[in-house]
Amino acid sequence: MSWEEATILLAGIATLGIYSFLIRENPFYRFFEHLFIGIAAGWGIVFSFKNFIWPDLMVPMLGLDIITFPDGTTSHPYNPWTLLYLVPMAFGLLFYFVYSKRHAWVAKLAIGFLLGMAGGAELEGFFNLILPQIVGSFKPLVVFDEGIVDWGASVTNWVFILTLILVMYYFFFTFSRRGIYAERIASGGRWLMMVCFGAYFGSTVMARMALLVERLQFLIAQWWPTVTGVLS
Amino acid sequence: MRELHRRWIYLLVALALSVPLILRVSVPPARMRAADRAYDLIRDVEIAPHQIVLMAFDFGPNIKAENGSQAEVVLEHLMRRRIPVALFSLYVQAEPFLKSIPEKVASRLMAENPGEVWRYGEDWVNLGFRPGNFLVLQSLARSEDITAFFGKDAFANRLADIAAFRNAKTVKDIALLVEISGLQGMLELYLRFFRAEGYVPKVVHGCTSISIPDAYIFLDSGQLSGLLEGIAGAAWYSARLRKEYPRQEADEAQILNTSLGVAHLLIILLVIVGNVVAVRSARRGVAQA
Amino acid sequence: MAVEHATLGILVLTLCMLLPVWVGIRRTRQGHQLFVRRIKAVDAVDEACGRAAEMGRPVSFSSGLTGISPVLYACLGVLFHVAKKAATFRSKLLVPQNDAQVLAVTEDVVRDAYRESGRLSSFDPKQIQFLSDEQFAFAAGYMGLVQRERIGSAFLLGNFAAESLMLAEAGQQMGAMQIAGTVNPEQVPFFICTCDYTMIGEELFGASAYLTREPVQLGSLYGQDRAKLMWLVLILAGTLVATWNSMGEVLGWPVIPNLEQLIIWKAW
Repeated sequence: MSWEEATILLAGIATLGIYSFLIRENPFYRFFEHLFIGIAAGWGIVFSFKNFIWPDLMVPMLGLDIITFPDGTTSHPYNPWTLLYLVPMAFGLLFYFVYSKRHAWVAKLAIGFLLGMAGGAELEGFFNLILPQIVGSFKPLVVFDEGIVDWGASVTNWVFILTLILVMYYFFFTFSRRGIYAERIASGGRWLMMVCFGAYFGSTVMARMALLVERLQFLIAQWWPTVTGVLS
Repeated sequence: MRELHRRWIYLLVALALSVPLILRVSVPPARMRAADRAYDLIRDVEIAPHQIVLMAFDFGPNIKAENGSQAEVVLEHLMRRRIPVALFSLYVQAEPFLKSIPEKVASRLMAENPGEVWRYGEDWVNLGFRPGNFLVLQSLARSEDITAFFGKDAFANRLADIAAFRNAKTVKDIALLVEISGLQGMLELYLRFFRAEGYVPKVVHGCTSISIPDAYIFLDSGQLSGLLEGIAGAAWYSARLRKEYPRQEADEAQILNTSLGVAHLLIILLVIVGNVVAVRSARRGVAQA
Repeated sequence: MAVEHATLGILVLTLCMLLPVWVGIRRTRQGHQLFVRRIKAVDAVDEACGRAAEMGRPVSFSSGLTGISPVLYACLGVLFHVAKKAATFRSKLLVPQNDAQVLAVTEDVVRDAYRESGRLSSFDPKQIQFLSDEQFAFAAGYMGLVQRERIGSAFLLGNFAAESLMLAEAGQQMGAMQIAGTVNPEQVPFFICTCDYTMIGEELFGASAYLTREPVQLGSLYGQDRAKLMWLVLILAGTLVATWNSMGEVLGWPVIPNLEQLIIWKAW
């Protein structure tokens, strides 16, 4: 049995192990659940070190990317400024202070920095993302096509703007809803959202099926032929 | 029906999905207008000698069925048109696909067109996974020299030595962005940060079925120029590709689409039957009361 | 030369959004009682904690895939309330985690809640358990945990993606009372189907502000509502201008400049 065949066999058994939850929670599932979690954790650490910490931080800091040629010359001189990488590294390590009861506040420096950075970037990102949508919602309620009213497009735009108003109204929390009409408007917003959720539900069922079909394709096209091949 | 155990439903769904896969049957896919827009855009895009197309594969093995199929068909189209493509990812689990998908497409094209060659470095370049999330996009968009910004490809070759990439200077040399992802918020990252002053790239997006309603918002506002909606979008794109470049090979996207279609029919049937039974038993309950 | 998001129009809009938040926080800190609409799911929070205690089963609280973000702070507001109830009722509280940074913050919040309930000695850091930062490994771990611990009530609040149904299904199979809330609209239908109460989108922020009465959360909610009102008025004005111009083309009315030019100055 080749290495690749063994990998496929194990992957198939693991897939079936996880799917066995559909019958009930069982030791077979539990084994693969823990295996899955363990591998995900281990892989994350190895990957971060191998693909980021080592090549992008350690190699330049230690000067390991400098090639020395037979004539004694080097590909490039050592850049001592790379040692400055230690500063953000040390700052990032402040996160670990959360585990200290006395000095937990130190971690708040790192968390605060992260939140501030994300907030600043968000300010730029928010408008880049949202403004085209806001402007896109400026739709004429009466649409003309070559001088004649386009009823289809006009009704579509009316539905759009009414949905927008009703749903936004539903999400006002600090204005009280006085009177039956206020409640009815909010209820209209809720109903329209339910229609939207129906569409989401349909598309999500499709996505779930796509997750399953990929595994079935693997089991049918790769795993089963490997099983029969190994057994014969 | 109420007593029908959920395990029987699981079994029925598994059978509905498996039968077309085992028999390898496919029916013609339905027309997807958003995928048509993506196809037309890629068919007509004109690339200057210093320009490239950037493809972001931001998906892992779990959503390979949808995003993988989309990546394959769009990349095949670009490669057939001999448009140089730079592949990269902000998602660590996508890294194996940055290597395997272009190799698979290139070898299929070479088998189909004896005498023609698709080469790494000329037709595509793998920039690998780039950690840093939105910071990568922000820095890339502001970079005056994107070749120096990326530095090396995924195999540690200097990008300045790679034919497909060496002429690209700024983000404005990226003629088109193809972003393929099912991850929450990933497309939004590109829409937020992948832009420079006076430059917003045309974006084609491949999404999973679950994110279709979200993606339509961006299509409607003009932030997306084309969209491949799940496997259905990939299957329709593939059907158009086969029409323009006929080939004999069985088409994975269309087989998967057929398999999903059968399962969707079963689910619709179960929803209808389930609701009829629920209404009937509710009425019976009222009558007895 | 300024980049496109740094225009005068954007600056004015930003100030219009920030000002009400600042006013809201200030007013709350000065002791003004701001009105917050009660959300149905909030009533169910105490019921769910009580039910788990009656059954002698644990309560679980998951913030899903939420990282350190405003959504997390809304989740932590509800968690604080749930943890206090669990401590008071002497129920076991489980808080499975997907993010190491969130774990640290969460542990602090749960410890504070136990302290405030006068039961700090019952707090066990092992209650806050890191499962995995990989989405489906986390889901597998959560499903197993829910089944093994036979939880009585489950709270699923925060950001969720494709794993949402797996998590909610696991709780439903156990017959647990489930309260969910997410800002990810595509996951809401699954929670509606499988949970007893679901908070839709920003209701999560409303619930957290309502439960904690914390000035920053209350003030932000107050400010957000005014900002939303501003956007709504802007959209309605833009729609009216677009309608006028559309009709004006045919009927020969004078053209009004589009609002988008006022907002962004330049086209993107």
